[in-house]
Amino acid sequence: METKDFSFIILEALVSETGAFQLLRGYESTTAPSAFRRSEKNGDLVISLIGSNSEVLDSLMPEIKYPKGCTTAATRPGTALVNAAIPLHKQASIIRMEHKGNIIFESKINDVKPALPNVQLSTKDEVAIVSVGNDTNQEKFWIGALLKDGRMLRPAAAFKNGAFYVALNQLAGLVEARIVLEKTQDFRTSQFTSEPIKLPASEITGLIVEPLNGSKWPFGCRGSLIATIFDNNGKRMEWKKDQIIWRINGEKTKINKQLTPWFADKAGQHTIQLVLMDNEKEVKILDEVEIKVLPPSVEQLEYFKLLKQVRPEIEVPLYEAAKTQK
Amino acid sequence: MKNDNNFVIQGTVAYSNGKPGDSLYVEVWDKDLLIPDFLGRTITDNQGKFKIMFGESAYNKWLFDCLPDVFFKVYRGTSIVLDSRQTTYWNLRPGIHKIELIINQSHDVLCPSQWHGPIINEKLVEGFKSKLSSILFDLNGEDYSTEVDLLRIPFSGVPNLMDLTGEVLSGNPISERIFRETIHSLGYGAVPLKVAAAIWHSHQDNECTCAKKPKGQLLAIKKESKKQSWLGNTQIFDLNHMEAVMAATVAVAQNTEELIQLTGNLMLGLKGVDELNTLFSLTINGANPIDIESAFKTAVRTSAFYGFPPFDGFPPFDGFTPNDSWPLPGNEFIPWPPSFGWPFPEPGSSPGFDPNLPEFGIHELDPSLSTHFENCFIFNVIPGLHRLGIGFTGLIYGADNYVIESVEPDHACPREVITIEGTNFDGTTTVNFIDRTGGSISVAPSSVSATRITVVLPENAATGPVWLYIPVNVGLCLETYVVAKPGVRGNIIVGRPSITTFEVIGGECYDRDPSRNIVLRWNVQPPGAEIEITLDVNGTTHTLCSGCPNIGTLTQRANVVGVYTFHISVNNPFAEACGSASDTVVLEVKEVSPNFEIMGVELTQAIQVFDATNFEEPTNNSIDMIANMDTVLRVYFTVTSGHTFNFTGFLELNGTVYFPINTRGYVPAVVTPLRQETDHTLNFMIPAADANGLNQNARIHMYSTGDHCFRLVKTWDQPISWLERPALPLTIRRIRESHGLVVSPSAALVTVRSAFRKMPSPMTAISLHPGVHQIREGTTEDNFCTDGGYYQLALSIAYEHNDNEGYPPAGHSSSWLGLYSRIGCPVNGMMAWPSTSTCISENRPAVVAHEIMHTVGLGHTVTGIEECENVAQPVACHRLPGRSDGLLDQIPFDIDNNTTVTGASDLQSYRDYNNKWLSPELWVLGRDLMDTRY
Repeated sequence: METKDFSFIILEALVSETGAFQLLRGYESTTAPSAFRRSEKNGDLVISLIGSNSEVLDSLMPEIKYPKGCTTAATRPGTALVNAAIPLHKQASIIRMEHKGNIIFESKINDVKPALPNVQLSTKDEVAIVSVGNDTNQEKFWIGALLKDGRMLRPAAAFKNGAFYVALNQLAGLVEARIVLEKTQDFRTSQFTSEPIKLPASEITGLIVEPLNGSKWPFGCRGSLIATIFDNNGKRMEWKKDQIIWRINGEKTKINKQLTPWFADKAGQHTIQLVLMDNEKEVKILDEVEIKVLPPSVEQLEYFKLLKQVRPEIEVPLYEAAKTQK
Repeated sequence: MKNDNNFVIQGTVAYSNGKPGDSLYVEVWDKDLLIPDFLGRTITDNQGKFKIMFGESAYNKWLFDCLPDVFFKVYRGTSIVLDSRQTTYWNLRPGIHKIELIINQSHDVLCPSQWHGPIINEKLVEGFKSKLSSILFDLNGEDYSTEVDLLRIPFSGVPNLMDLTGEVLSGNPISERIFRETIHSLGYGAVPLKVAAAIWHSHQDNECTCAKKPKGQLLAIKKESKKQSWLGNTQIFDLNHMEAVMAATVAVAQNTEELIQLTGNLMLGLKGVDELNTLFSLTINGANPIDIESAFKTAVRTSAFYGFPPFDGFPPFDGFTPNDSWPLPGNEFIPWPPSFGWPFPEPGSSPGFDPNLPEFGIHELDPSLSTHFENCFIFNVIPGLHRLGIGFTGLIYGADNYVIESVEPDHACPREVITIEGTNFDGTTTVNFIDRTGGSISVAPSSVSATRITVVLPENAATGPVWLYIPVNVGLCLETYVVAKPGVRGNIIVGRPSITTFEVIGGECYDRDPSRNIVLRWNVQPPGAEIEITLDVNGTTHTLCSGCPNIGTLTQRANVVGVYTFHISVNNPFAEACGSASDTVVLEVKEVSPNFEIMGVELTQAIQVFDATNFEEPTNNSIDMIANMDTVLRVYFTVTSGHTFNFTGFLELNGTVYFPINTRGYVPAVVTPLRQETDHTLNFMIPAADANGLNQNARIHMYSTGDHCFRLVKTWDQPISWLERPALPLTIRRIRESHGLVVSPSAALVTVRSAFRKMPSPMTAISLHPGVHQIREGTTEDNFCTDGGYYQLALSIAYEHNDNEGYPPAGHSSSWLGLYSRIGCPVNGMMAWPSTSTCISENRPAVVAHEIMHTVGLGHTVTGIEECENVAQPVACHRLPGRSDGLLDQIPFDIDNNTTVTGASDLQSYRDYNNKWLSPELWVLGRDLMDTRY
């Protein structure tokens, strides 16, 4: 069999157990993950390429799974995601999909690739603007970002006045990328690849996981301060000891780790901050929580008094503190 | 027959500003070998003129060369204002001699009350030793630190020597005793012969031969020259302080022998000081290291009495028997009593010593610092103080000491006016009493005359001596000091009784035990006080003793439970107006301590395998602890007696103490603890930040709150190993539905954090994407909860997060959790492995945990509602053995709510909407899946 430039037709679609179908995307690509080309016997779904004489040139039975929802209600029909890749034959003029013997989708395949418009690329702030001129049928286009390592990501993009506005801040920290614009028409695809553009630097973000904001901390309870560090896309970053510090009521904690033990020895409101530092200077407060350390209970006072009697050598600073914080 | 009054001295005394020195006492002295001879005394007229006559009998002590070497001392009252020894008139011939004496008016007076601390500068000594070691090392390349340590620093180890000195010279009788004991305790135990002989000589009424009169002029010159040399250097010792210590020594000695012995202690110490000062001076002035080494060896030999070769140390003095033939090359000292080779003379007897002794028998001290002070002692300190009447009565001459003849009333109360009568009270500035601690209290008198003083008895005065402080100046070698004039003290009994001790021995801990006694003890002053002690037990009062001794003990059986109140009342019959004193001791006798045993400890981070009916079951605690997760220890115990008590305790781990997390801090007594009951166990939580490390030992201490004596503190050592496991990476992405609702970040975190309580993962890889995913209206996203559009939504999120891990994932580096707040969505959440994203429309921790565990690779726990997933998950589905309804047979522990969980269903089942926890099997499977994927 002869193929057209050794390319594939890639299909992304949803299909339900009852045969409901929605094509998410169908395009031409010179590469395809091997998993997409898997063929199963007795599959529910069959994808076929049909020639001009209605002959079946090739067919594929992609692997599909119908997951079950987590619900206490009645079981719903499962919906499977379809990801398939079928070699594009030169003679192919129609692509067809059958579900349990029923045709659920059929479309023609163009003989030639669509013509690309005059693509112009510019950047402003953290947005790349890909102008497609008068070719305003945005549904034909697909925007990607090709990284140096070969990964193709799909940044968010909005179409407005004949141009795609691509949010580069989602690619922060990836150094550089080429913006890829693909135009697909009847399963044939042309591609524009830009020169590399510089991507924004990632920004350190922090989250105090424990304690929770507004929580109440029992007096005298030893617990943990836990935080995580990640960039503005949620990608985790390494905790650097000198770069991130904990502050409680404005004072740096003696231990400075991602998990830091803390001992509440004073009742009242406490402000816990996660602070980004640079050479011992504060850069910004990454996260901040307010907690309330409860005053010692009568039982706690009795407990500390008892402990002091049982083991006087144990430091029970809480005992003295508790007596003054009733 | 000797001719009396054939010497006539006519002179004038004037101040340096030209004013005549009127009404001053002038004394004429003959400068003798050891102790100068007193020749005569008179008083100047208003023009400063005086006249003194004396004869040969006053000075003729020697066989040859009997002309006197005269010098003068001038006093204003008892204060010396001039000592002309340095301008001695040598070999004065009989006849009339006219002289002029000039008094320098600048004369500092030192106040003993300003003295504090040790005599030695300890820091200076340490620095000096360090530098010395360094110099010796540089010289020989050997470590001399041990030898340097042999340098015994005289007078070290008496941190309050100057305080005591000041108190002594202020007349405190209590401090006198302590000072005497202190100087005795210096223990140098040897006396320089010259000093011993001089002191002895000065107190014997002997005829001396004039055959060997020493060269006094030479002595004076030597002293002056040495003074010039050592006064110019930095000293380890404060010389003024040394002089004051000498004065105090003279003041406290009770007789001649003791003065000699105490003086010997000081002088031997001074010898060590001398060598140290030489060494110190060389060291700090950067002298030739060879000279320093030589001085060092000498100093070690002198100061380290226990020293032996290589430094030719002296033999030990302790245990040395007089007259032993000990080879003592170069020894200038002898043990006490000094062995002159003849019996030491008794007071009143003939000395019988060889008159040649000063020339041939006594090795003089080096003419240095010790020589100076030796002379100072002989010529200034001893006569100067004795002139004032300070010291033992055998030495005092011509003093007008005060005498307290009566104190009225002799039993008085604080704030009462008392009258003191006697003689020589002039100049009294304060009246002194002792307080209850032995310290002194000084009070300014209300009125003073020569024979009568009135004063108000101070508040804190105690029964004891009463003495006066009449300041007088005494000029010694270097300075003039203010000291207290001596006198005969009075006594007073202070009427208010004082209870110095009233206590139960052994504290307040008693339980009802007929075999045990409560021991009460007391100490009351004054001894004649009337004392009554009572005991009140639960409202019934008994008299334990009446007319009790002022110091005593008694015992009382603790055979009744209740509050015991011991009361002491004291009255002083001698001064009832002073009022009484009382004190109370209260203790509580409680029931006998309960008995109990610790049976076992369960370790849990949510779920654990544990059989509370069989603590020996080998599968107990078979689920490993994961590092960096909150960990709860449940302590199971059983009570065998004392069932009405509560129990508590604490836990120690790596030096940190943890308190129970049970709501009340204690738990009730139980005989058979039930695992499902939170408070049937004493629970401790080790927070995630502390939960790490292998083979850690958590020591649990447990006791009853009713164990008043804490005799039953049970301990249990629980080994714990926290294994390092990967934390599940999870990014929370909030979803705004097309109508605008969105979960707040804090609410999202609350839900996710609670979900993690049910999962085998630390919470250290949770991130919160700052953005919000906006559902696209009118698409399948908008209807995902009704149309099963989760996959598209999950894909959208994943794509938007740039992981490009839709389905199947290119690399599973993280799970994405889309949180959607729509109410009434019939599908709570949906996920299919191996996707990385899941969407949740129910803000419920159990649902979130369930879906996340799907992303990890766990299918459903099949209970009849769920389907076994027909996808290739590692754990496609699971069935609980023998539990088709999905109920767990183990008891989870809800750390957030600090409680055990009962009736829970497996998290991966569809049973029970909220009360779902991972079964032990799925906990282990899920944890292992995370190990392989993250």
